Amino acid sequence: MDKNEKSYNIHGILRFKIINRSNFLNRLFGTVNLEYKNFETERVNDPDFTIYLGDFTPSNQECRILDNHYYVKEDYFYCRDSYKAARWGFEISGFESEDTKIRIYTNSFASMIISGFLIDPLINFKLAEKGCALVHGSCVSKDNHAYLFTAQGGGGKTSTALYAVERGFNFMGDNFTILDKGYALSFLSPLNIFSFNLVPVVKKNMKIKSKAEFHLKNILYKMTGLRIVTKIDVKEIFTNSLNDKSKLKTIFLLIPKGKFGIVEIDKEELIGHMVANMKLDSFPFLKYMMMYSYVFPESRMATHWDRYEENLRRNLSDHVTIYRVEVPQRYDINTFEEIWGG
Amino acid sequence: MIQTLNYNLHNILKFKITRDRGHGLRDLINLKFSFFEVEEVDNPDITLNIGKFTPSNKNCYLVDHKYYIKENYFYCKDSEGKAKWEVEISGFEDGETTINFNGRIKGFQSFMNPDFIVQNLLIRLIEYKLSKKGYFLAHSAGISKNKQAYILPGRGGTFKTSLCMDFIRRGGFEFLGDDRVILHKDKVLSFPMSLRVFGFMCKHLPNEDSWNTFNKIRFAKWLWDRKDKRDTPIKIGEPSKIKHLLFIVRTNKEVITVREISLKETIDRLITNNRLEDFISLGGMGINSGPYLKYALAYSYIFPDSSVATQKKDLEVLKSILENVPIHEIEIPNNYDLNVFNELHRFTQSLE
Repeated sequence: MDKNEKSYNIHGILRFKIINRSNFLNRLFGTVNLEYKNFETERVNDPDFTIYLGDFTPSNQECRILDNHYYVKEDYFYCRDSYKAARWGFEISGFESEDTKIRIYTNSFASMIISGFLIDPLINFKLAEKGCALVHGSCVSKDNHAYLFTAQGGGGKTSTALYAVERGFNFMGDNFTILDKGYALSFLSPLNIFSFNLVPVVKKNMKIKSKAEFHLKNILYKMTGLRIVTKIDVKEIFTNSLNDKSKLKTIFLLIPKGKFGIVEIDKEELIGHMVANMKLDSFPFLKYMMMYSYVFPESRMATHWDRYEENLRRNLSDHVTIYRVEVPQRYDINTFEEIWGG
Repeated sequence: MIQTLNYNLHNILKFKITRDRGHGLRDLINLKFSFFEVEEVDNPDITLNIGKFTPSNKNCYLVDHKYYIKENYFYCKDSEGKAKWEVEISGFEDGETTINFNGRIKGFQSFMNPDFIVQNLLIRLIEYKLSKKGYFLAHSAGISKNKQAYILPGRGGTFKTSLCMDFIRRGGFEFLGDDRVILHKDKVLSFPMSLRVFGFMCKHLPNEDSWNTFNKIRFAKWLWDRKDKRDTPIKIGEPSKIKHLLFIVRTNKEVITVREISLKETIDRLITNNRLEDFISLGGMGINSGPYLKYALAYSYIFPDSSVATQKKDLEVLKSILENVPIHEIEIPNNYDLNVFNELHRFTQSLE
């Protein structure tokens, strides 16, 4: 078997392959392997999509050209893009059908962000095609009941989940969770460790190597102001407290504001917040989707967000309790206690 | 020295810009809306203040660490590429709107466009306000003759400007706009921007890609000679009836093709076309992420039922405007030449 080829399986719902032919530096800096490590599986033969990392020659003949550099034809999109020092180019084809291929070229900077910029949004799109909904939120469980904490950046998703694990809950994900017919399915991506979320359970279980990495990066940050986040595989920390699937019981929508406040809201209101949340989290992929939609307004890509909204509605049980929680801008253990008290 | 500029868009919408200082001759290019400048306006729909300000962002929700949001209010500090700014918008959703903006763009590219970013935000708010009043500010070129207008929407790089130039020079048309036009009922109203630049191009350049150093120097002299006059050699068209809507799509194919498209598809496209304009980009500035789109999404995240979030109005407005208008899409080759104009001109005439 080709050692450059890895297969992934997300709860038997979505299967994909990554074929990594990028250069040495990109492999060194790249985070893609770590990002989806917990979905790694035996070789799959009929993946829903295949990702090719490394240089490629685009097949962008006979395309429409938008804004001088986005290439669109039926079931095909290609462009080069950049954000700060990161540069990438990608070509995606077959996304309107079963056999999706995405080829991605990156420089070393982009190899660190490509999962969030391109692959996660593609997973979101594909999960919606399968009738599930990926949501931006952390999740924990106890006695087969899942608790979802959905928020934008800065809402305390990770902290809440970590505090809960300290209290004996099982961990299901700190950034994404999948909703499937009233159940929450885990999405185990690596934890981003900062000094403010270094709770005892994490500190205790971190391996020496990760600890050293974390402290080194902290020193680097203090000296240069350059912040490189430390990513840790959750299996390293929560060996015995992970959970795959639980009935979704309670959802907390966390929004930072001056002081603590909690109010129960209904499903429809939650859905409105959740759609905007996911869109905000989908940059810059959202732009590519819009470019394609401009040319093909009736395509699957163009109608994705309507389907996403409908999937949220279908997969959230009507019996789930939903709270909108205003949390202080400085989130700490007291906030957590208040959420739990409520 | 505080400077105040007043603008009136066809008596539909009024706005005001105040700033710490002007930018001298650079303002001939920097100020995009000069065609609509008037002496004085009362009760402006939008007031834009450029310069230092103190935000009133108490009691706000905080989204993604940086967007401060409360009802009808938005504030953030933002930066991208070579630009850095802070912006406060009160009346973000309703009522009179005030934008406070303080920002800076580094680098030579921004020298002629110091107020580039805030004018992009301003135009987005103008679009939003017009939509509430039942007008649609389309990202489209427009030309007219005998009060009959053709509107040519298209993404960036589809030679909208070059086509306008040739329709005016060779077809005897009047100008409505090369980037935006206002649609209302069965009419198109002009929305010419950066008219001095367009005036020069129309007079002296074969097409929009002909900007070499020599032409830039000619342009500087041309501006200098006309620095006190507001007029340009361009005749701006009166409000005209929409005769035909023709999407321009650039391709890397060799042939020119035309096809008909449905009303539903057209409406979706016109709306997406406008949203895509939020991704501002100006060569070399390194900005391509669409500040307003993010601001509106952050606001929608907190207030999902607000009119900023739903934008249902645009659908109704466009449907009533375009119901009886013939609509086509024309694919043009990668490079612009007279042949493209001739084909298009012939096609519009064949519909007479």
